Amino acid sequence: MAIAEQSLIHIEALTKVFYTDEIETHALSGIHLNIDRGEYVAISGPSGCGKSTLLSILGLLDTPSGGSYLLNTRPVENLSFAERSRIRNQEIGFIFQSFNLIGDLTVYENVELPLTYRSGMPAAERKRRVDESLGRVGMAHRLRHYPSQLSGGQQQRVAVARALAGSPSILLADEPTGNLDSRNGEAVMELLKELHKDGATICMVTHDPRFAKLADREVHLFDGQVVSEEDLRRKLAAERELLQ
Amino acid sequence: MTNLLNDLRYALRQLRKSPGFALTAILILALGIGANAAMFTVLNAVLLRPLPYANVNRLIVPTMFDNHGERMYGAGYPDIAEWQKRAHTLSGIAYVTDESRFMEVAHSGESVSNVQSSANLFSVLGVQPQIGRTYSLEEQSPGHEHVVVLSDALWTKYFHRNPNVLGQTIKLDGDSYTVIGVMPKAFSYPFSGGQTRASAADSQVWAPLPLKPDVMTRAGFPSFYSLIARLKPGVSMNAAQADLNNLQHTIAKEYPAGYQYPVPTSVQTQSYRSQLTRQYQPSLLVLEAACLMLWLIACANVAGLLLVRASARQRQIAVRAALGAGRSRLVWQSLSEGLLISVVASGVGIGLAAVALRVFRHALLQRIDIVRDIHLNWPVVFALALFAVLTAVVCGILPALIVSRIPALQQGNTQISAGRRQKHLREGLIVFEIALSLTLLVACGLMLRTLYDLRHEPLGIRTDHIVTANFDIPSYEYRNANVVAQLYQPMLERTRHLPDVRAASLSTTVPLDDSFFVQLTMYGKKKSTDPRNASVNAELGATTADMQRVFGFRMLQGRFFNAQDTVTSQPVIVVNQAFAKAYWPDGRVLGQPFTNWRTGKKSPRAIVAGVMDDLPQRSLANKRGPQVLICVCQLEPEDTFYDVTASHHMQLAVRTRENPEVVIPEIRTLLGQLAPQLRGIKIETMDQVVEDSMGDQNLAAHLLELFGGTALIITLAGLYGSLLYAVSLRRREMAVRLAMGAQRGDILKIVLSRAAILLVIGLAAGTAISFATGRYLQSYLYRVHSGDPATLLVACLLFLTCGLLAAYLPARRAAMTEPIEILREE
Repeated sequence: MAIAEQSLIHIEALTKVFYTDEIETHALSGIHLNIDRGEYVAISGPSGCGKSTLLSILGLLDTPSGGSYLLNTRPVENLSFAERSRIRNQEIGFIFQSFNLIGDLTVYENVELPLTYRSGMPAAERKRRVDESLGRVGMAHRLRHYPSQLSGGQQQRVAVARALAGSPSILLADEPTGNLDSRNGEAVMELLKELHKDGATICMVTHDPRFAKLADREVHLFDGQVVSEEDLRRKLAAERELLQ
Repeated sequence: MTNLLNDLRYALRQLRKSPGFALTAILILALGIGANAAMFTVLNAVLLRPLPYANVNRLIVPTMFDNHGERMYGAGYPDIAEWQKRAHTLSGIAYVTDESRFMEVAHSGESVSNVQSSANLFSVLGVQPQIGRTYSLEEQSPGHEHVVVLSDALWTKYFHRNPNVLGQTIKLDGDSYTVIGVMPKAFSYPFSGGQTRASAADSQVWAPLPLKPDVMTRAGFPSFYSLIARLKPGVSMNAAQADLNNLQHTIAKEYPAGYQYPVPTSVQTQSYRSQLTRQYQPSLLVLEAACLMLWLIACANVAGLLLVRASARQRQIAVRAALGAGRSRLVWQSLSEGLLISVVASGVGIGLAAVALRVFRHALLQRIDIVRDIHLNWPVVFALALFAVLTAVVCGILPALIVSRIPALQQGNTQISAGRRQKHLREGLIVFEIALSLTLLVACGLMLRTLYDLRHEPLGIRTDHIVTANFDIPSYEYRNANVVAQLYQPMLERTRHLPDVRAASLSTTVPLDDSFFVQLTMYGKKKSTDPRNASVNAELGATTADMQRVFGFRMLQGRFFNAQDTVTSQPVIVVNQAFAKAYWPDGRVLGQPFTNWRTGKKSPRAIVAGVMDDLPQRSLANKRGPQVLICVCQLEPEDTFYDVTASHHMQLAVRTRENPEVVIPEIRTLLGQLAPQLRGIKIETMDQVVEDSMGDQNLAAHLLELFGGTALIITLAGLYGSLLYAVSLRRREMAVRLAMGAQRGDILKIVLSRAAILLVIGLAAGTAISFATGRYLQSYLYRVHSGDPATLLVACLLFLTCGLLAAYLPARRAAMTEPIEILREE
């Protein structure tokens, strides 16, 4: 099957099975998903539906049990650890729910971190990119601060800057507002929207329908499968009924 | 109080819950405490033990120096008599001389140490006899001196503690003496608490030193006596020294004009205790310092472990603080765990110390001959109890400080790092451990190099297939006879005829034996390099012709003694190269005249027949000084050198064809047949003599190997544990780095480079400490300087390699982190 040129991520029949104590858990069951360049996709669904597992596989932090995954038209499902690390470093920017800034490093050093794993990049180029990224998220004035000296919202802005610094093909955001109050959460969502406007491809996992609506497209997951919005509503209603 | 006990119980419960931590901490501290307990036991036995004299701190030993600043081997009676009259700072001064004599009681006997002294010796020492009396000044008059005071051991051995011993007669070298008293059990003077020289330790007799007319004037060559004095109450040592110095200055001016021997002009004093211990004090203090380093390393290590536990318990401690626990209560709770560990470790440490003392007891008693036994005792246990508390405080203070600063409850944190202050503290402790461990390792390396150099030192002799027998001559039996003809020649003849014997020789000293030596000092009339006129200072030995065959040394010029050297032939000497260089620097040595040792005979001066290689003398590490050998077969009883060489002490050296050990029983039997007193003498192989001559270095090297090895292991375990803990704290950080694209090698590098930084800082600090403290080790070293760069480099490389290996496992664990597993924990 020919893959459209603008397609950045193309996965077909993707499965992920976890084995614990002879119990098989099918976290993902035959996912088909396509994300184009410049697209802003929100993956939503109830807890345990497989959102984060899907995001981990998209971010090459985890490997699928079956199916195919093309990133930038290149099959990536069976790469070595080192190769996956290299692609992660160059193609993917992560934004975590709990920011995951390194407390011993300054804001500048945190943002510079992914660039230091890119061999051959001169220090001047790294500095230019760090300054630019921090400028984009409005944190250029806090270069020398440590994360502990920043508010939660500011920390997440720094985390976004870190994800941007490597000029990745796609930003993967896992519940980026999960640890923030609503005001800071909205500010971070506004930032993502601006980045998208500037051309960034974003794939965001969220369980908050308000933020999911901000994306170009919403992908609903339920029990490890992609379902339509109608189906999702129906299944959720049936689940509630069963519980009652 | 109840709260404190509750906290102790809680600490005990916590330790039971973490048996791995508890065992590790206890074992590490036990090593540090055990080493110190063992070393303190030795220090207590050697340096701090009570001496059997009243107010021992007021006993001093004055030493005389001549106008050239040369130390003199005692003082002459005329000077002593002046001091007794004119010294203001002394309440008494006694003089003694000491020699080995054969004591006979009924039909048995043994060699004893016969101390001849002034009558006031016992009052100066402040000791009364347990029965009878000591001698009086009148008994120092010639003809009245045949009274004797026995040691408790001799009284027990020969008279079964019978009080009727008083008035009985014993013989010393065949002369009769009446027993007038017995000294108390622990008493000895000169102090001899050791057991290696059994005859000197317990078998002492004291008799009056007869004041013959010739010793009371300055007419002839002075007789020198050792001195012991008691300071007046309240007088300091410095005041006494100044007083005696002034006095001796005045006395020196009163010497008759034209006095041809060196005049004592100055005096130095030292306490009797420090005179006894000065030989051991530096080395024991060096080893104690090594033990203290080991203890500090152990404390730092356990402090690091407790710090980790305190960090892990931060939340629990914050909860306690929120519930109203005061800072002191939190600190006590933290300290109580360290206290429990320290108390248990002290118990284990005592056991380890007892084992260590048992293992090293023989070697220690061999080297420290003023100590009779070394064992743990109550003062040591009491000191250990204090040490345990100190250890608890040293180990627990840092974790306690951390605990006292933990803020109230905090909500979940979104950063990935441990507290920076705690991290720096943990790393600081590791650096401290590395620095001290390197210091011990360098010391150990220097000792090993010394041993290597000593073992590879060209001896100039062959040591294989040689047996040596070391014996005192029962001189009273040969008082009116020629010991050479009656004992030595038959001994050599019969030994040579034993099967397996290639050659046999008799010498007053064999290389590397320090049991006997004669220092020859001849005062010249003017400064000159010609020995006919110059002052000669050399070791004097008497030997037989086969010595060269036995030891196989080289002659550099001329010949060694041979069968043609007899009492009727031209007297000859053989000198070593050091002597030849010192006195005939132009190299023309052969045929040069020396002194005439034949008293009262018109005999030619001895001439130099040969120059031999410099042989090792009393020990391998000692510089090989000038040496003069005379031939035993050229000595007759009336000769000057006969008394000082041939009639006191001799060593039989035998070269064998096969295993030398096989010949030992035969030699023992033969010597027993020749003289019954020689039955129990020490016979050993030359290889053993060589090994024994490295005894100090061997012992120090073994102890430092033990300390250095233990320190290295503890430190590496500390480094490993600290990095492992750091890695466990940084799991999320590593996961994020991997998520950002770091390769496993990058993570490996992060942990290893941190370890390398700690190692490099620690090694730099250790190098500085080694340089600063190395001079205290210098007296042990041979041909290697305490700042030897090669040793330092090897120790650093060894440490760096072991350190990086220890760091590799935690680093690998960090590198193998699966980022998704950690991040999923969100």
